[in-house]
Amino acid sequence: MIDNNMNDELFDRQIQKMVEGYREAPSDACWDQLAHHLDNITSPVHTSPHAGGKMITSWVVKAVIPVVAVAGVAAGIALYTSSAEKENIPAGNAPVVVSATRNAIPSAENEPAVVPPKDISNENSVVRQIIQTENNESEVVPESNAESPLSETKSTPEIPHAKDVVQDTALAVAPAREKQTESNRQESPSAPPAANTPTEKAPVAEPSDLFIPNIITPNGDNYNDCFEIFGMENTTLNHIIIFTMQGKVIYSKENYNNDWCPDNLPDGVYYFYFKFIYQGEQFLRKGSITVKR
Amino acid sequence: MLSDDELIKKCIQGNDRQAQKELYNRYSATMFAICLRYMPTYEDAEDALVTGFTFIFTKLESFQNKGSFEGWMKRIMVNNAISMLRSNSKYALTLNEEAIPDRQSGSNTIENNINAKDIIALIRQLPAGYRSVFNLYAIEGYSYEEIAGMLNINIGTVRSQLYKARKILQNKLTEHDR
Repeated sequence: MIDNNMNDELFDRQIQKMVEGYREAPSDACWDQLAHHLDNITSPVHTSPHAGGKMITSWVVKAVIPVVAVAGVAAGIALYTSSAEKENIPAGNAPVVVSATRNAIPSAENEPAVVPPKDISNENSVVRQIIQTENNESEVVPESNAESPLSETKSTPEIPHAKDVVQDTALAVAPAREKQTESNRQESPSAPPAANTPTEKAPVAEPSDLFIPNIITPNGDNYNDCFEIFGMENTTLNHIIIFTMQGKVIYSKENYNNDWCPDNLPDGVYYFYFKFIYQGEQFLRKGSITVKR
Repeated sequence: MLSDDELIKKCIQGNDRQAQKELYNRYSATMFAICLRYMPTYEDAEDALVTGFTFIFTKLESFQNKGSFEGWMKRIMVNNAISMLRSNSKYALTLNEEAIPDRQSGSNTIENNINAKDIIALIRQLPAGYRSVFNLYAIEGYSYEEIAGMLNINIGTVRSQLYKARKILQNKLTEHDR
């Protein structure tokens, strides 16, 4: 056994000795790319040296806020130099995504106390909370809002308002609009507002022109590279959360702009929650999205 | 002929493109050899070289003449290569457990009729996880613990991947000798 270990060490040393002094000149194009990169450092726009240089793209450019990435690596490098010890490498890409997400979480002005997605560490619990809320409801469409039939029956002028506070941030601005539609509906013939019946809620316009794909192929061929929700232009105030099978939030964005192009995520199945307001109604769509290259 | 220190100073002060090029010319071949060892394709190795040097040049001021400049650059290159590997799912450092034929003729001495380029080619053929671990341990000389931290895997995995990498290499070298 000891003999084997020694032989292995010897083997390693031999390889090391042979490989260590090896040099191979890169192609001349590399310097040009490097010079180009260095030029771009002063300006905020980064470009990828290779047309299909997905790695750099994912590493520097596509990071939603490149500064975050640079700062992260910079911190890493500072570590190496300040201490003689070799430290762990600067965290890979995933934390960058997280920090980008952190920045993507807007500090909503009228944020309710119940669901504060401000802090990414709470994000998981947010999702759990949403999931719980979901499980409590049989319907996919309405979510803890004043529009749900249940709440409608006992709707008094005060209660919807109280419920508004419980609503999710993304749609916190909605109550005014919702109340408006509510009152529109309440203009139904000779029925007093308090006597609204749930049946009137049934013909809610389904956003049929909304198409959410269930697969994307972020392989750089410009086809289905991004998670593109078609018909988004008809929605207002949307909020999307994308998470892994393990429930880890990897993307959270209000006013999603069809720009989630996960070129640094492994292939697999991810899940999304997509909340939006469509013709004054609040909807929630959830489902899976397969990432396949 | 300016020394490295003078060149570094020029780079920091004036962002001197000429000085940067001079430094690049001195070290690019060594650094590229490192990138080649970690990256499976030539193009990715070039990408790694470019990003690595970009960070070296932007962070030159943080190299405060502590230790060797080349060593500092090498560490950046290695860490850069690894984070690129980690960030790209194509090269996910997966622990693919492939069956390795038992050493049938366990030669762990290296014959003289193989050159560094061939060895590097063999290393590059290793699966990403094995390759990174072998590079880090055998060539860069990191410890198991450090590698485990860098790759975010546990020490047992480092050991087993290293063992398997070695076996594959030894088998390939034996084939090469025949």
